[in-house]
Amino acid sequence: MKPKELERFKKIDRRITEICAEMGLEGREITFVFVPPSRMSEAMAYGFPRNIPSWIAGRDFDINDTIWRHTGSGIPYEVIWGFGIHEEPKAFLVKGYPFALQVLINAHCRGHEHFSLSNKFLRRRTINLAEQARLATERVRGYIREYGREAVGMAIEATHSLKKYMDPTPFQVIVSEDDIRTVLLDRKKSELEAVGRASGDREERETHIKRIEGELKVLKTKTPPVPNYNVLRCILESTPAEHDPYRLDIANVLLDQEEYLRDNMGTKLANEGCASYLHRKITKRLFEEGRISDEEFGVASHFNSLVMADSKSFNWYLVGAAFFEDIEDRWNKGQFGKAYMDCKDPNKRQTFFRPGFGGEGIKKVFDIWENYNDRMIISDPELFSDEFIRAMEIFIWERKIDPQTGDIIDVRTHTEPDDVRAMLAYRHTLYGIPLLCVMNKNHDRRRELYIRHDYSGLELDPKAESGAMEYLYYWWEKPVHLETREIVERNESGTPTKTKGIIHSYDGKNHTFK
Amino acid sequence: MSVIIVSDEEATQGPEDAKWHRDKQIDDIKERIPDIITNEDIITSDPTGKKIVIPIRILEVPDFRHGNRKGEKGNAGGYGIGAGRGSPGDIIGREKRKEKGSKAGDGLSSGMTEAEIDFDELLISWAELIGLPNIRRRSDGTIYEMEWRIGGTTDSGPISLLKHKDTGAEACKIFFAFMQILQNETGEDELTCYNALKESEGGLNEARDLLEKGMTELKYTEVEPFLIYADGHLLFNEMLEKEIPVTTAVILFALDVSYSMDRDRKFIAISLLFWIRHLLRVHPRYKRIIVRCIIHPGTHEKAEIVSAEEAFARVGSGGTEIYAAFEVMNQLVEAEYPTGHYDVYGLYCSDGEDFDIPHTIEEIRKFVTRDISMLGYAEVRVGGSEEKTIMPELVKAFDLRMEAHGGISVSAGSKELPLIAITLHDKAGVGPAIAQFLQKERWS
Repeated sequence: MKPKELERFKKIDRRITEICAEMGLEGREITFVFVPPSRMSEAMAYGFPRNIPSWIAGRDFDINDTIWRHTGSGIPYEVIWGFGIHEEPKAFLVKGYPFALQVLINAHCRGHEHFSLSNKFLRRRTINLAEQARLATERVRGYIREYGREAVGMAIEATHSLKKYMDPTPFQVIVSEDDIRTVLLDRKKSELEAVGRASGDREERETHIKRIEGELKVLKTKTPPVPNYNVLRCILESTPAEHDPYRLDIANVLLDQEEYLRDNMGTKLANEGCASYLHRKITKRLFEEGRISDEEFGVASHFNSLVMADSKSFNWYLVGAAFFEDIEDRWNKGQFGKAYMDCKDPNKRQTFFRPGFGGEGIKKVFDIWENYNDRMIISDPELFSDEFIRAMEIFIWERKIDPQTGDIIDVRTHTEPDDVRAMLAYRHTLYGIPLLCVMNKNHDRRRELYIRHDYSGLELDPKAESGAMEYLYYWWEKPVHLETREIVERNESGTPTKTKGIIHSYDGKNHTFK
Repeated sequence: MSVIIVSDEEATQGPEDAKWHRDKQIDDIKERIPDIITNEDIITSDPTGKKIVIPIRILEVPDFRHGNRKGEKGNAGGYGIGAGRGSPGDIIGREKRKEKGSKAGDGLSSGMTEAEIDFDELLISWAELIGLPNIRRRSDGTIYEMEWRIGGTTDSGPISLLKHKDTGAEACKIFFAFMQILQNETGEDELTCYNALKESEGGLNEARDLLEKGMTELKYTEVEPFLIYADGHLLFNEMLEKEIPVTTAVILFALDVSYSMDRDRKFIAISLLFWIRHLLRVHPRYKRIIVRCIIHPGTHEKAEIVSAEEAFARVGSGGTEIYAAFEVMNQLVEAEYPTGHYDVYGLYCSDGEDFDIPHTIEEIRKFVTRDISMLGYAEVRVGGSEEKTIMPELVKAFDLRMEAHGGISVSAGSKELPLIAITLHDKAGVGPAIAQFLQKERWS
């Protein structure tokens, strides 16, 4: 950036800060760093300016950087982090991008900053992850010197493979196994007492009591007491790997980062929508004030229009920004509430108007930013309305087999708003990640690990599964077992019609299937 | 108000870890070398000091992911959310049916990408694959070759390097020394001192104590020397590093450009020269590589020294007299590249046709007895042609033994004979041919 441009950017930045304050947005001082494209590729690969060294991030960096150097595309306009309340917000922007785009990105980052500070689901985060990553980087470099790259690389791979299998309950609070066991034991004891006091057939009561006593006995030692969907965290609580502290350190740092990422995933639509919605408003204001020229505004609008719909994917920026614009418009017109929702005539709904709600739109937008996550938004037909879904032309597609050619085809199947909402909500629960849980850390009373895959119509890739089982063994150091399902029959179009259960076991040397 | 910083700092951790990833991919790169080395774009350019683009498999970390356990019907069952105009039933994507015999789940769905690799990095990977001698980089970036040999003696080291004989001799000396000390200090006789030393299991101080207290019973009736291993008296072999002096390699490349050598055959020949030249260039032994190209166009035409480009472009007429090329090679060694000062490599490429085999054998014999490093005779027989060639006579004349390696046949003699004769049929044979030519065991 030339010195004059830099000065101008600083001036506009000051004005953006004022506009944000006028709009009532929360915000702190953000550090914007203009970096060469290679640093952006690096930040994209590692998630932070500094993070644990790994070949995995090196691979991603190499791909990003090579694509950039040969095509001039493939890296994001910005990478931002540190928007938690205990963090210091920072953003990388790429040197050499058009001035108007840099202004747009500045405004976009203010949106992220406001959302992160105001949203109740993100506000609860307490770790300064960027700082944790920076410190962990130095420690891991020390581990590499001490234990060798191979050993440290293995710990990173074994964490990377398993870190994403988490409880889908959004924004859950982690409760210890002992606390869960205590609660369950208390319940069982209460149940036992109640049965003991109850009247009725004595033999039946005694049978019941015996059953509860049996369950109590199991509950006292069963670990985990209930299926634990935070697979790696659960394993790490009892792993023999604790004798290698470096392995645990690496796993814990990467798990913290993954949990942070999962929180972000749960609000991605709202967060990107907020940032895109605000950057549109702010750049328009700057244009109206004459701080950016016609041409620059055109450039900014051009980049806005680049968030185009792709027929097979869901575009957070496009849908998110449009969603909040729709909310603002509808709430200003009074298009919400019982009267609106009870109206089923689409023509009447389109022209529905209640006076006196002007200005309510932006309040509702702020309310959603503060109190909602994506699943809450998507599941609510008052917010994520039928009209909006139809206007955005959102649909569900399914992968099938062409009965004539045998080709794999992606077919548009559902466009009904209820179906779209249900599917989007489901997607925003599991994000395409198989659901796994730890069932027993003392399987067969031999301290073997037993994991269950909660089958929901999709099988597991067997070759990848074998590799992942070996990583499970790496952490558990005793035989590991996975219960999953295999599709036995499909119909003509490839939809499963019959399955069977299989147990995949690995003892450190051999994979067996039963 | 924001803080605004302009940074010129380029990525550092990314390239470092990208190298880590590349090291893990090295096996994949090594597997691809046979394809890479036949890439005409590389051979017809000068990639020295540059990066080349090669297809490479992306490594992935296996995890639990959705897929198809059997793969009989492809990957049906997935779904997604999209946006755009259309109606239910519209096909928005199509993937051609997998070929028979393949199944989903082969590999980890790891895709291919193109990666840039330093040309020299590729050469070094290949050299390691072939088994060229140790190549190592100094911290200042220059390359030297390390040769390790066992020699000398030191007083510490791993048990595997213990010099048993010398240590035993030393232990024996210690016994006699201790015996002498005890006798001198205590005045006791030899047998008494021996008993004390034996009782103390070789400990001098303990033996002194026993003698001071007085040995009432002598358990041993005669002196039988035993080994006493004392700290600091264990002797080990020493691993000595030796840096091999750098010198100049000369490649005398001779190409038959007679009518029978068509473009495909010439390309294979030029490929051999290209890769051997570059592999020797990155070898730490050589500071400099000199290449001289010799062509012999045809019968009654003299062999000439030309540039590599001209060698590739020239088309002769008539039949072939191989000896003419070897005459020039012999003259060059005698007049310009004495083997006392240069490492001389000869590489001759032809389709094997020769009108004067005895003369050729005689010239080859002169060449290989000049203390050269290696002569490679490469016969390129594209299409499996069955014409009579010089090969059988060559094998017989030099008592070569034929073996098959990676699609080529290789004939080599005793270790003292710096001659290897190779028959290759297509460009896939280039890699194996070079590996055989430069194989460590063949080097003199």
